[in-house]
Amino acid sequence: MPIHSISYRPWDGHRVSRWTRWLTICSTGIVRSSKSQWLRRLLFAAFIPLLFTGIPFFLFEQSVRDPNMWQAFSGFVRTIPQNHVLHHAVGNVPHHPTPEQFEAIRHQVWSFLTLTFLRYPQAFLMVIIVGIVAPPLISQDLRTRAYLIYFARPISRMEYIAGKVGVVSFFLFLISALPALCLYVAAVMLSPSVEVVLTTWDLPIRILIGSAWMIVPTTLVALAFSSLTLESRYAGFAWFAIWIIGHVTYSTLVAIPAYEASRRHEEFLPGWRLLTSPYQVLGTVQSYIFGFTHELDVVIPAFLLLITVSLASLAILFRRVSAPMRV
Amino acid sequence: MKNIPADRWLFDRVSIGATAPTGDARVIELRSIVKTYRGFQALHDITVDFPPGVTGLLGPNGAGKSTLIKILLGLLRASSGDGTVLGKPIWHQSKQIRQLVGYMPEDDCYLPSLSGVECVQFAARLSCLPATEALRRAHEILDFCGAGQERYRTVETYSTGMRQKLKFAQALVHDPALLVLDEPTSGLDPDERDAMLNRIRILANSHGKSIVICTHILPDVQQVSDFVVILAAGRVAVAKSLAELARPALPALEIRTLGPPETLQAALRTHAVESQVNPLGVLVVQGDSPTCVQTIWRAAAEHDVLIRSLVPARNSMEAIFLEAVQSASQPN
Repeated sequence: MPIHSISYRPWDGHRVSRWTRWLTICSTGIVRSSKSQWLRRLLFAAFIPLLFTGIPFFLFEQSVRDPNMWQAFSGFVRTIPQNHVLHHAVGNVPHHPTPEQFEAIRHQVWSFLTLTFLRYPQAFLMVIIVGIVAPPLISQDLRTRAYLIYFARPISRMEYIAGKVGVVSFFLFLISALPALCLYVAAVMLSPSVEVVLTTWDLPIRILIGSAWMIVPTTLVALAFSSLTLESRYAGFAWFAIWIIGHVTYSTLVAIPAYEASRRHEEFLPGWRLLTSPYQVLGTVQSYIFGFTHELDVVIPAFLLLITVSLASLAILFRRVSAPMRV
Repeated sequence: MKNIPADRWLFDRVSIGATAPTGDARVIELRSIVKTYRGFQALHDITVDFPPGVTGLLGPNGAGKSTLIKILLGLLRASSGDGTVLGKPIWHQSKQIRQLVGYMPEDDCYLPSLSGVECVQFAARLSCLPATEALRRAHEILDFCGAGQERYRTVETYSTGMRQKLKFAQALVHDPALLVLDEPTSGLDPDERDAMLNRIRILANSHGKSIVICTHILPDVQQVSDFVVILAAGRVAVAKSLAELARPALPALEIRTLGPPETLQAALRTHAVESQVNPLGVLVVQGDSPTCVQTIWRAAAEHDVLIRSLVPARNSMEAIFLEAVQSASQPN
């Protein structure tokens, strides 16, 4: 057949594995989402906190060689919010700590700094990035009837949902787990010996598990919102609303008890009130994964709440994704 | 009966009923398919076979065409009944069926922010073509569909006609054995419509594709279809080859003349041949025997009438469709 023929030509080439279909949906979704300039700017901004969090790592590791750095590090620790754990650990160390004393607190310091990185700047960015990426993913398919393109192919609902989850998860991985892992690698490189890996090897695993517990529920909830409407702005509004309402509710519930506890010079534990805020729930779970929270009466309900919300969102997704086919 | 065309007298009553075509090869076989939506029965005992070639699936709005297509693709489960598509049982092997079938939906569907060629490549990749090969194939199919440089524009900027081409390319890109085309010529200008029908014929005749065309544009069906299935009120009203349907029960000849047909009509009357002029100005003579034809030529020669065409009369698709729909809507 001539090469310039523009008539129809049959095709009988080799097909790739059917397990790649969800990856096709995922990669195409990533390409489409990446066309947003705002998203690209935010992804760039997601790495700026990395530099800020890198400073205490640098100061801590340099303190081993230069005792003056220890004072700088102690001063920096005081600027970190919710720093009582780290403050306690650092406070027990003398002004000129020995390498053994460094070794004793290194794991705790690294864990806390990493958790702080995930808990504050990255969690805030996570809310914004999910709010940009997730709402159009399914609602736009429903509005433009693109679901017909997907489901006219041998695509199952599971593959479709997996592909969409993959899109959001990719961006969340990019702003949470990846910078945190970079931070860990940087910390190892700043430390006096590579042998610190032997005592901190679990941190990358904790980073991955902690990120997964953040990524999966948030992604499923955001996609469930997206599947419930043809207008992605409504899904975006609902997404931001649950964070704002949750935060306001939590703040309102803890304000008075916290004030009264402070007057009595007692430590205030929010207890069940944490469950009213998605941000606090995720924080509690991550804090447990990094080994800083041990109150199981709060941790277990937090885990259960995340599992329940994820399963409910998944059920909504399965129901809604097949809905256009039923009519 | 309402809405009977003025030239209704030309057409003998077409036989109504789901008659399975003869022959061994069947692309689609459906047996007693019933589909009920919360008490509403959309399909009633659909039993029909689709032979290879081009099949026109016709029916008024709400006849159950879309439901039937969704059942064929395994997107909907029939309430009862079974069937096969390309030898694979529907529902149980729906993924395998969708791998072998190309579906062009009627609805305007697209992935915003992607270019035309990216959309077709995406469709190919969903059918498991490797990424690079999918891109090459996408360009090849867009060439076949007559898409030029506009393939590099985002699909939101496309005209209706271009979107039709895009959907057609997406349905075809993985080289399916069976194409299900829902309103393929809707929104196309006459040139593009002809080109689209030509592509359909090429695929059927030169590449052995089986094609189901679901449309309201009856001349399209008449132009390209070999077999016609008419659904009405969720039932199969007609399932016959087009040749069989187009043939009137009583043979007749259609004559077009230069000048008024009444001159030839009067001339034929002198030869004891009765004829009638239909509203389109065509003279229709009952019978098609060689003697009758000779008589017509002789009468024309005697009265200096120039005959532009003399062809056997055929039932029109419109009449067949109306007859089928009206018969189906009448209570038994």
